[in-house]
Order: sequence, then structure tokens, then C-alpha cells
Amino acid sequence: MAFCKKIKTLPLMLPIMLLLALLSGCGEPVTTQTQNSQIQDSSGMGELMSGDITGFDKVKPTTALSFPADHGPHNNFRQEWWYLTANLTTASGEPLGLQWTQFRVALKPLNPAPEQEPDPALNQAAQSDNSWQSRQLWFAHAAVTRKNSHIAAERWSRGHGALAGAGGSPFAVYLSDWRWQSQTEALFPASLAVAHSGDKGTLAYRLNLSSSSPLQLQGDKGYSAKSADAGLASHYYSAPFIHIEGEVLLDGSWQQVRGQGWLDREWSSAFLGLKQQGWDWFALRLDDGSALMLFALREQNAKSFTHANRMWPDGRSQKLEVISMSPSDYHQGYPVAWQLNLKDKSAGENNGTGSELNLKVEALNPDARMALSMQYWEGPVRISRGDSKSDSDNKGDIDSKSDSHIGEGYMELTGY
Amino acid sequence: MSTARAGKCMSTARAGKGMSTAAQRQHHRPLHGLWLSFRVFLGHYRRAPLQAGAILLGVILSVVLLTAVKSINENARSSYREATAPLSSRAAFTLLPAGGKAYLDDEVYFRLSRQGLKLMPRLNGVMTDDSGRRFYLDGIDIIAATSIAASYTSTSAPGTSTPAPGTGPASPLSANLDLGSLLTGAPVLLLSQSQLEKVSAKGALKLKGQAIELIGLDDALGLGSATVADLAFAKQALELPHSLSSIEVLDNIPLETFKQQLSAAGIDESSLDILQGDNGAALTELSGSFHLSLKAMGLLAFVVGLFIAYNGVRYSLMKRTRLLLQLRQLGVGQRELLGALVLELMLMVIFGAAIGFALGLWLGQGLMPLVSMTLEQVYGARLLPGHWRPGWFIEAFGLSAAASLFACIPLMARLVATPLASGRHQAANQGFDVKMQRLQLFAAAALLLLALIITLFEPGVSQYLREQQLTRLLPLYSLGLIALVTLAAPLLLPSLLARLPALFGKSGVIRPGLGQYLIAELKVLAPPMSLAMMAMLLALSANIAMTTLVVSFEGTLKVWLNQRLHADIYLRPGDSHMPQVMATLENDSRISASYRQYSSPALLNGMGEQQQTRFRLLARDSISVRETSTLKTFDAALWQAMQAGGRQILINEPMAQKLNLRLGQRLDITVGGKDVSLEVAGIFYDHGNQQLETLIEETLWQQLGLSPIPMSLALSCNGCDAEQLADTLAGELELSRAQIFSQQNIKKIAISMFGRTFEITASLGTLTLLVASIGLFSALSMLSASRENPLARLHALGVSRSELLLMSAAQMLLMVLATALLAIPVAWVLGYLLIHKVILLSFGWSLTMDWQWLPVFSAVGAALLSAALALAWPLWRQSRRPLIRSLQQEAN
Repeated sequence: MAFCKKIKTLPLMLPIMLLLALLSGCGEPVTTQTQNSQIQDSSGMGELMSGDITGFDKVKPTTALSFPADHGPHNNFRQEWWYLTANLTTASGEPLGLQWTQFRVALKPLNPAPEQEPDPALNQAAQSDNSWQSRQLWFAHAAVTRKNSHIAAERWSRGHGALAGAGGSPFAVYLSDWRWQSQTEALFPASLAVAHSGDKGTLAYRLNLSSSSPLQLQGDKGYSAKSADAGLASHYYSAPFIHIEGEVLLDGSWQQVRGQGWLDREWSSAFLGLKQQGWDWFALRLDDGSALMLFALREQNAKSFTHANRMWPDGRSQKLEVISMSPSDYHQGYPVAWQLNLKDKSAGENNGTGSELNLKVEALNPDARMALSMQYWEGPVRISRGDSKSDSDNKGDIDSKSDSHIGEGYMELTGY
Repeated sequence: MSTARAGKCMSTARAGKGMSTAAQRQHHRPLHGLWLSFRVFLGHYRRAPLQAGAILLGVILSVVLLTAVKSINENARSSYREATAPLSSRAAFTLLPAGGKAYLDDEVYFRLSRQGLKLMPRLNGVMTDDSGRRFYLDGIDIIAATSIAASYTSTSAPGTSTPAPGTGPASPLSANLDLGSLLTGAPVLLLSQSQLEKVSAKGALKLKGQAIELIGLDDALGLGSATVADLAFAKQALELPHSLSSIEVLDNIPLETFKQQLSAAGIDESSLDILQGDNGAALTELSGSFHLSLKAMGLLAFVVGLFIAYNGVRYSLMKRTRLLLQLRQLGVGQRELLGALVLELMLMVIFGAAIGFALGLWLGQGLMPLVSMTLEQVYGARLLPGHWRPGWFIEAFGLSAAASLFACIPLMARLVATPLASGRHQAANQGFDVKMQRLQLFAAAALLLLALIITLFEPGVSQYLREQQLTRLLPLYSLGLIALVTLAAPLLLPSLLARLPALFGKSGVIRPGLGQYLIAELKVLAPPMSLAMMAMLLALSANIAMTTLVVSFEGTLKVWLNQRLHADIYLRPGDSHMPQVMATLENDSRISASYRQYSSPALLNGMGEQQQTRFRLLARDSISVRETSTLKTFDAALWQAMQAGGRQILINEPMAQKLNLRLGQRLDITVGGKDVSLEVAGIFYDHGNQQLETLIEETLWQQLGLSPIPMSLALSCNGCDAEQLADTLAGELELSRAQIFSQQNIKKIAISMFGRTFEITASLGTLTLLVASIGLFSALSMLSASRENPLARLHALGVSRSELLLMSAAQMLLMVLATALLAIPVAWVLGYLLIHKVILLSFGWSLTMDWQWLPVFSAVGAALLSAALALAWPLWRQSRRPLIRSLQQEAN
């Protein structure tokens, strides 16, 4: 998910990029067009992503993550997010998806070139969390997706400890009245409250979150490569096994819900290659108790950069090889149904049994566009047994009958 | 064609002689005559494009100003509804500090923000740059502002469509904003593009040696003339790191819900003054008279333009008298002829109205900065860019079509109905003119009588309107009075002009010969000229009256400021600084006296249209109360009691006017959570202020237990250099120059600010004069053109060209001067009414009328100039062509 997010950052980042463009003052007036066209001709985007990152911290493979410190913000990386998705069920059995994401963007590096910051006093003040002078911009997205409806909302804030931020003991991530509040310095147990009422609908939920599984470091011990030549990367860890109980405001009344959630944490200063168009990201929980994180960074005229990691609640994980990913249905230009074929990288050599994972992924509600100031698609998905890519009969880990439900999860599509 | 039909044709034909087969053919289809005539008229205009041009010009001019004013007024009204402050949508509530405090603590904002409310924090103040230029800074949270503009909830449900990408509202996000610099507190100011051009033309800005960067935002964001900064910079520049001036609550929630949220946030409701938004209703009402006066100007210009068009129609008809007769003789029916003339007129009106409409929108756009200046200075309202609506065109076209039909149809009908036999007979026309003049004189007398009666009864009527809580009718009522005079004055003019020749004829100064010819011809010229002269009269008097108003306002303001500002230096250090500043200054030998002023919002119960009326309660020490209150009226006994520490209050003139308050009346006031009843001891002048304000003595303020910290201090220093001392004190007291002003400084700001107040009215007045000059020019030149034949005859008889020129010039100047002579008293009356009725009733300020001759002479000069030009042109043209052609010209 984090990965996706990253990639997501690309499209997501379009708006952010607008912001970044604003920040760096390099922008021609940017209008939201289709992301593709922007990416194709966007020297601005390339500049932003690969360009002026002087003064920002860089993601290094040697950096070891440490907790609880790394739950909090990394102010001198350019982008960062706390990203929760959840597949829940109401008391009456209705499936629904929830999303909450809080983003942080550093508008200026801590130590820019000397001529850029004429007044050191200003810069010093801007480093304090509780000052009106800040380098940070925060924003948050939230959504509730049901089979026939999808409501999304966003909030923005300047960096100011009293208005928005993350960290502290007990740990919290907050922006106005949207708040993740942990009971201790650790992420769990925690509560999450989100409420928004606007012209076009009301969105509100109050959740209790707990998890007893260890955190999963993605990529190489939390160093997650985002391109084949490893020039782009992020720090990325996940909590894929979260038990959630709480209530959601549906049709004007609070309804009890319970289910599973997934938290991604990711930060970086440079995500995107010039040719990367967007990403498709999946956070899937299979009925056998494992979870699968899969992302593909789409590149123009080239093979997508993919990565897949299968994880278990006891902390084990296994890298998978993505054999193929093919969209099987589209809605408003977004590929909302997929056929995924993966293979255990080590399986072939080991025992040759059950090495393939073939999944069919379909959106619960194909119209889960986040029509916010940044546009992308994010929504819950159902998983069923897919067709095998190879001729041999698949006897995957997933014991299944044809078309049976074998899991659920979340999908994010950006750059379309 | 059948013979039966042909026979019918023949039998209905009025004149067999000269009847052509074409005419026969037309006659059996009723519309054919109309169509034929219309084509003939088209041919006529092709030969004389100037005649068509004059009519078009009139229609265009009449629609231009009407449309410009319409677009300005409609824009302003929709701006009031949509937004009251830059970069924010309409606030449901505005939170201000209560109990005489100047600022709110940041903490209030933080706590409310945690309640999830959509808020806009503001910090306002005056910033002075290193070179002493002053800016009223509007500090906002740029992220709150931009996200309010951009934020929306998206939903998708069956049957609803999600918004397409890129359809979000225009927001600063789409502008080229350097958020990184703004948020880190770099010295950056945001201005509207037009304002940026103005400011940067005066050179670069610096604050404490640091260059201030100016960024221009699209005028579409509605910044108007505001100077916006992010709070990060505003708080440094105004040196108020933990304070806000106000917080706007943008969620559309009921007051009760909001109060619950206040208490949930742990905020004491009584520490806040909660203003409820009203959809701009208060602003709309407050500025109503301003828009009404603009509208009146627009209508005036419309009338003037119509005069021009009417004149053009009249002239072109006169030129076609023979042609019309010929058409009738050819058998075209009266109705068909009239139909063709109407069709021709309507086409001109459509065409002219379309051009005028486009020009009017353009002009409105151009005048907008002036209007927004006035609205901002006087009412604190900001304009957003607007969009024109097709309805305005329909309205403009309908109005000009109806008015021109109304004016021209009698003229056309009379001409069409002229008996065939009597060809061209001046006598009938002259008889008509004389009748007309009598009618006009009678109407003028009636209108003036009505105006007089209204003036006499005005105090009673306005008293009644106030008692009936119909104060909003007052400006309408006073403008009605002006309308009566404006209608009556031009109606007097034709009689005056008609009597002019007689006046000279009897005086005996005119020598026989050419001189007598001149006078005799004047009699013939006066009636056709009187329409153009009427338009000129209106424009001249409106222009002079408007100038008089502006001059009077400035004069009154200067006198008033001199009285009001008795100290040399004024300080406003803020609540937290004040005690320290007062302690430091107490024993300062440079200061000969110091005065204190306190301020708090308060409510007046049970007066006026609402249950509670909001006003500002000021308190000053008793020396200041005595020396600076420029009283309009006062009750001696109460005034003495007040000075002795009694429970009396002074109210400002606008408050007395609006709420109809009288001396000795008891006011029930709620201030700082307490109720108190105070007696009105006097009414003080408060020029330039639209707000309701009152004044009490410091001792009473203290008795009421209101904030002991003054809002501002005034210092006197015997004969010192105030500007220099202010500089020194700013350093010593660690105040920014935004918090300390010298007297001269304040006067300069006040006068320049109010100078701009009437700028838009004055410019509209000038435009009207311009329209009228064009009108006069077109009327005169058409008249001169029609006199080519008689002039050529005179020339042929041996009168030299220079003599002819002299003669024509004398005739024209006589008429123009006579008009100007009438315009001056009319302007005086209009000025008097504007100052003593309109301004007093709608703004509540009484001004001293200051009549100046310079603007009078320059306006009359403009009229003479256009007359001279109009005269010279046809004569010059005539001198360049053979005499015989002029002799062949159709004579009137």
C-alpha cells in the first residue's frame, strides 16, 4: 500500500505537485488535466520529483528503522504519510471500506542553499513545531465506500503543533478534529475519529484499532526500491493485521462495524522517475490468514516496475514474483478488476508444489474515485480464485473452488 | 397579375400621375409599401450616413452608461452576498474580542479548530515600510484560505455524477503562490494584479532592511485593494506573535450549535463578540443609497443619450420631408410609411444597443477599481469580479426601444400625416412648437411646485418614515426630490431660448441689416436646438453639482479633522503593551499632556428596526471629550451633568439619523455583560464614518467596570516636531511605526481616503458631461448642415464668409450661454439637495456647502468648446464645395 501510495504520490502528487510547484515558485499555472498528459509533458513534475531536492534528506539502504521514533514525522524528507485502509462489515452484514490518510509535505528543506534563506532567524523559527512559521504542509483524506456509494473528504492545514502534526507520547496523528490517538508510544492500541460534513454528504467514523502482529518492514528492511535501477526509493513499513471495531455513520445513523485494517507508513524525498505514469497498488488479505502487498509502477514504453510481498501475522514474509497483472474491466478509465498471477520466487527450486498464486480482484464499488483536489481511485476489493497462467492445474496455497471468495482488501489506482 | 387586381390598384391609387407599375404591384400586398419605403430609406442613409450615425451615436451613448452602471451595481450586490472578505467564503459568524480588548488569543483559534470547524483566522493592522509607506495588512492563514476555496466533499451514489476533473473552483492553488516562502514567514505580500501595478509603480518595499516581495494574484480572486499576507509574516510585521483580530466561522451552523461547540472547546462565550453573518443584507442596505445614486447617474446619461438619438431622428425626418411626400404621392399608405419608419428606428436601436452594451460592459470593467475603492473605504465591502447576464441586454434594449418609440412616433406620425397638398409649411410646425413650449413651461412649473412642497414638508415626512422604521426609504425619497428638479429644469429651457431673440430685438442694440437677420433666424433655430440644449443643461448642472458635493465634503472634513485631532501623537500599542507604555510615558518631560481612549462593542436595546442594534462605545478622558467632540447639538444641562460624572452619553450624527435619536432620550445599553441606561447629552459630527459610535467619559467607563486598559493614547508635546518624536518614541517603546502616528499623518490618510470616496461619482459626472458634449456637437452640426442653403444664399448675396462665421458663432454662443446661465442656478439647487438631503439622509453626515466657480467655468467651457467645434465643421465643409451645391441643398 505504501508503495502504491508512493506511486500514488505521483498522481496524488499532482495536486501536491501543484503545491510543490507553488512552493518552489516554478509553476506555470497548473490545471488538472488527465494525469497521463501531465506526466508526459511535465518537465515540471520531473523537476519536482527528481529536481530540486537539495537540502532534503535522502532515503538510504543503510538506514535502520527504529520504533517508536519512526512512527513520528521525518520533517526533512519531502513527503510522508500515515495510511489506513479497512474492510469492515456492519452488524447486518453489509461490506464497506474505510480510508484515512494523513500526508505531510515539506515545502522547503531545512538547510537550503544559503542565498535562498536570507534571514536565519526566520528559518530557525520555522523549525519549531509550534510556530506560525513552518516549512510543513499537512493534509488528510478520508473515505467511506459502500457497494453503491462512495464519499470522500479532505482537510488541509499549515504545520503548527496546535493545528496538525504527528508524534508525541502517547502517539497521535491529527489534523483539526481528525485524529489517530494511540494509548502509548506504540501505534496500537489506538482510536481513530474522522468526521466531515459538506454540501454533498456527511462522512464520519470512530474506530478502535488493535494489533498483536509485529510490524512488517517492506523491501529490504524498510528500504523500498521504486525503480529497477534503485535510484528512487522510500522508507516503508506496514501493519497489515489490524483488528478494528467501531461505528460508522451510514444514512444518518451510527452503525456498529468490525473487520480488518491495514496501516502503511512511508516517507521519502524522491519517488518518481520521469517516465513513471502512476501506480496500481493492492493490499490484500487472504482467507488463509496471509496478506499480500503488491504494487506496479507503470512506465511509458517499458515494463512496469513491480514488487510483491506476502506476509503472515507471526511476522514471516516472502517476496513473490509478479508474472502478470492484467486489467479485466474498466470504469471511467480506471481498471477496476484485475487478474493477478504471482509466483513464489524460491518455489521452483524447492519443491515445485503450490508455487503459483492466481487471484481475481474486483472492486466492491467501481465508482470509488477520490474526486478531491487530487484525483485518484481508492476502494475496497473482493478476491476470488483466478485463472492459472500456466497450463498445469493450480494447487496454490489457497484451497479453492472455482469463483469462490478467498479474501478482501484495498486497491489504489493513480495516474489514469 | 390579374386585371381585376390591377383595377383595384388603380382605383385605390391616390395619384394617377406618375404611378409606376412597380407601385401598382406593391400595392396589392399590404407589406409591400412598407418594404419599398424601407428600401428607399436605406438608400437615403447610404447617401447621408451621418444622419444614421447621429441616431446610432445617441442610442449607443444612452446604453453605454446605463449598462456600465448596471454591471457595477449588480456586481457589487452579488459580491455582498457571496463574500465579505478576501480569500474566504461567506462567514456564518465572525468572532471578535469582547469587553474592549483589541485582540483574540491564538488559543481560541486552536481550540475551535480542534472542534473540526471550518475557520479563517485574521490579523489586521497597519504596516509601515522603511520608507514610511503604510499598508493596511490583512493577515490570513493562507492554507485555511486556499483549502476553503478548494475543499469539497465528493460523493458518488446511484444517479449522481462525480464532478469531472479540473472543475474545482478557482483557488490560489491554481495561482503561482510560493507557499514555502509564505509559510516560513518570508516577507511576501499578495495583491490583486491591478493593485500590484499601482504599488510597485511607487518603488520597491522594504521592511527592516529586508526587501518585501509582492505577488500579484488574479483579480478574479477578489482581493480588491487589500494587501494580504500569511499570518507567518503578518504576525512579525505587526509584532503581534500570539494575537488574532478576528476569526471567521465558515460552517453553516445555527448559533446554538456553535455556542455548544464553544463550550465543548472550553471557551468562555462572554470573552467573544459573536457577529452573525447576514448574507450581505446589511451591506446591501448600507450601500443602497450609493448604488441608487449611481443608477440615477446612469439614467441621466440614458436620457441625455436619448436626446441625441431623438435629435438625430428629427433631423433625418426633416431631411426626408420631400421624400416622404413623394412616397405618399406614389401611393404608399400612411400606415405602411409609419411602419417602415418604425422598422428603421428599431433596427438602429438594436444595432446601437448592442454596440452600447458591449462598450458599457467594458466601461463598467474600467470603472470597477474606482467603485471598489469607494465601497471599501466607506462600507468596508470588497468587490468580486462578476459576470454579465443576458437579461441586462434585454433590459437596456427594451428601455431604449420603448423610450425612442415613445419619443419619435408622434414626430413621425405628424410628418406622415401632413396633408399632401400643403407640402412644406413652416407655420404649422411653428404653431406646434409654441404649443409645446407652453405645455413644457406648465409641466416645469408643476414639477418645481411639487419639489418645493416636498422640500417644505421634508422634515415631517422623514420624521414619519423614521418613526415607521422605513429609514431605507429616506434616500429614495430624497433622490425623488432631485429627480423632480432634474426633470423640471430642462423643460424651462425651450421657453427661455424662445424668448432670447425677443430680448435682443427689444433691447435696440442690434443694428438693422445682418444683425436683425441674425435675431430673426435665431427664432427659427431655437426650437430645434432646444432638445440638445436640454441634454446639455442636465449634464452641466449634474456635473457642477457633483463637483460641489466633493469639494464641500473635503472642506468639511478638513475643518472637522482639525478640531477632532487635538493631540500631536497617537499611540496604539495593543493591550499587552499598553500598561508598560503608559508607565514609561508618565514622567516623560517631552510630553506635556496625555489623553486616553477606550473602546468596546456594545448593544442598544429596543431602538431601530432590530431588537438590538450593534454599535461601538468609546470613552475618553474629560479633557478630550470637551476638546475633541465637534458637537452638532447638545443639551446644556445634560452636557454639564456629563462633565460632572453623570450617566450621559454623546452619540454620533449617523447614529442619531439612523435610529432617530433625540437629545435627552434614554438609551438602554448592554456592554461588557452589563445593562446600563444613559441619557443622550449631545450629537457629534462624525464625517466619513458610517458606523454607529457613542462617547462617554472615562470616569463612567471605569464605573461600568469595563477594561481598564485604553485602546489608544494621545500625546501632546508643546511645539515639538511630532513626526520626529513619534520616530523616537517608536524606538524607545519598542513599537512599530504601525502603532504610532503623528497628527499630520492621520490627516493625510483620512483626507486621501475620503478623497477617493466620491471619485466614482465624479467620474460618472464627467462621463455624462462628455456624452452631453457629444450630443451638443451632433445637434449643432446637423443644424448647421441644414442651414447650408440659407447661408449659401446669404453668401451669394454678398455676405462674406467671415461675416457668416461670425453670425453663426454669435447665434450658437448665445444659445449655449443662455443654457449655461440656466445650468448654474439649477446646479446650485441640485448641489444643495445632494448635500443637505441625499448625503444627510443616506450617510448621516451634514456638510457645509462650498460653492466654487472654477469647476463651473470649466464645465461651461467644455460646452462652449464642443459648440465651437460643431459650428466650425459645417462651415469649413461648405467653404470647400461649390456654392451652387449648397444652394441646391434641401432647405428646411
